[in-house]
Amino acid sequence: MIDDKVLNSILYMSKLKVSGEEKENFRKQIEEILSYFKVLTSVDTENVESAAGEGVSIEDLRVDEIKDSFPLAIIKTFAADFQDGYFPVPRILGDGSGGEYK
Amino acid sequence: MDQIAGKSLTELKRLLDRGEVSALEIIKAFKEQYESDRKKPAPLNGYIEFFNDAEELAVKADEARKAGTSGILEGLPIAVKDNILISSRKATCGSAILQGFTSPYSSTVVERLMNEGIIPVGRTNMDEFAMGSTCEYSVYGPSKNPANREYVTGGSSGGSAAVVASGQAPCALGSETGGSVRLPASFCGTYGFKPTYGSLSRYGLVAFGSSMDQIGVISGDPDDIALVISVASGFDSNDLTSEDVDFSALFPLKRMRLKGKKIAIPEELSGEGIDKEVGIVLERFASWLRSEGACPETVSMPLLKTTVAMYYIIAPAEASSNLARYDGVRYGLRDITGNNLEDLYVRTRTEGFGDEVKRRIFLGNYVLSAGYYDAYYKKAMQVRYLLKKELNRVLKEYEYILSPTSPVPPFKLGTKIDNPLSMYLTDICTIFANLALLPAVSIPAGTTSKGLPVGMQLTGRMFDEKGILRAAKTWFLKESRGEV
Repeated sequence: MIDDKVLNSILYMSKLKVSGEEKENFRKQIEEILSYFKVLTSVDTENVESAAGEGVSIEDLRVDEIKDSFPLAIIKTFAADFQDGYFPVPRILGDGSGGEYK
Repeated sequence: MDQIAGKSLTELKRLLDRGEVSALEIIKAFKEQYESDRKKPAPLNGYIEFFNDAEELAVKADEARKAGTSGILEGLPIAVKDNILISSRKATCGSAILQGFTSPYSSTVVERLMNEGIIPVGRTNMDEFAMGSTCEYSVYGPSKNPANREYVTGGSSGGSAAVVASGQAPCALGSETGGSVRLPASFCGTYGFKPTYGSLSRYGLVAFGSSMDQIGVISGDPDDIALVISVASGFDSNDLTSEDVDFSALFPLKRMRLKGKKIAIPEELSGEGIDKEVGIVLERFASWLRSEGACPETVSMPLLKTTVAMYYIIAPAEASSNLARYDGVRYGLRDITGNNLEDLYVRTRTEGFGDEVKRRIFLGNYVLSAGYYDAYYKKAMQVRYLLKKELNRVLKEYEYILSPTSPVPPFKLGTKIDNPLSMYLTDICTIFANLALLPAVSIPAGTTSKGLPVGMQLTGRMFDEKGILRAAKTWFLKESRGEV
């Protein structure tokens, strides 16, 4: 049901890695859960609205105004690494191989 | 003062108001209870941290009372789940990925309670990011059920339920996305309340499934819940899904006259699939309702059979987006052993998240992906729409919906931890209230032959917190005080 291509592609989107020996158990658990979801197919939803999109209407949104953010002194206290007012990250460009997934 | 640690928030408030006890004595009593439990061979592991400065804060509260500047909750203790932010305190959501994180602000609910003088005494254990039904998926290890330490507390707010049920706190905040307050309350023998979606602000509650997340309250006395809700509820400009409700008169709860009230018992949550001993407690509770003049009736609500599927599509979909923020860049764990930014993300998240969180992020991204979206996410949201209609139709005719809180009594630690689907099915009785945004309360209604607690659940109409809490109070008066 979930082939390697799908598994790797969703893991890529999730920014997660599942190691070799765990992979089959992970796949089996996910397949079992997805299979259970089929219970929903028994419900006729033709021409049914979706609950998606319910919630706060655009008129109710708060005014878009600039407010003070946390001062740098506070940000520094919870940042794993913070230098010269920035969060440093490793280089963005890889070697073209697509990272560790492929 | 004898047995402070067994008293409810409202009893302690009465004693404090009369000057019969000090805040310091109260905090010391609960701390002692916590410390003596830690020395036992199998501690309950309800608290992740009992705050060192709680006694200092109690001294200040006593001074405020003497000076006449106290709030209505001055000096009263409350335990707080590890995903509800308190300024300058750690918050980890039971996860390795948030180790070392200290919150720069307080959640609105905590802030409102603290403005009235409440003292958060500690952070309670939970399933990682509130994803779990047993409190076993925590980086700190499982909490244990005070009724029997070989059994699970229920989850995800298992630590909150354990500290209340064991007298380590009179009252605790938990959080709900699919039953995470009611389920542990049921398993540990306390009351557990989930407000209507919007009654309490979600600001400062770490996001999991934003269309269902809601802070809830656990206590041994429904009046404690009413007191907390009366102070903490109402609109908050930091959460535009919060509602302008006024529950300030909720406390103290009055007894309810149940005569003539129609109560629906869903056929789908009362027969097949419900443990025999849980069924016996349900029948006992229904008999009590009948003796009070209420009219419980079995009603078929077929969509309740689909709620687990619906929930485990929608909640992970929202979680996969909400948990994208844990990337190792701004806060929390950071693994920089790789070669580039992509490796930073992957290594941090792979190391920082536990198995259940990984499964849910994966499921969420799967059901939202092109090719699967219509079959899963869109379908689930359509059925959610139908479910809301079905429940609202039932609640037009009936005042409340009565069901067990869990289809099974508490089970032994380790029983379901490797079988996620079996774990998910534990939630079948609670999640409909979250999907339909309704208020619900779990009531300690009996025990099994092994002495394990069994909870019954009353679900009410939108914003009828008063109704279900008054019904719970009526049961409380009968059970705890022998009042009929």
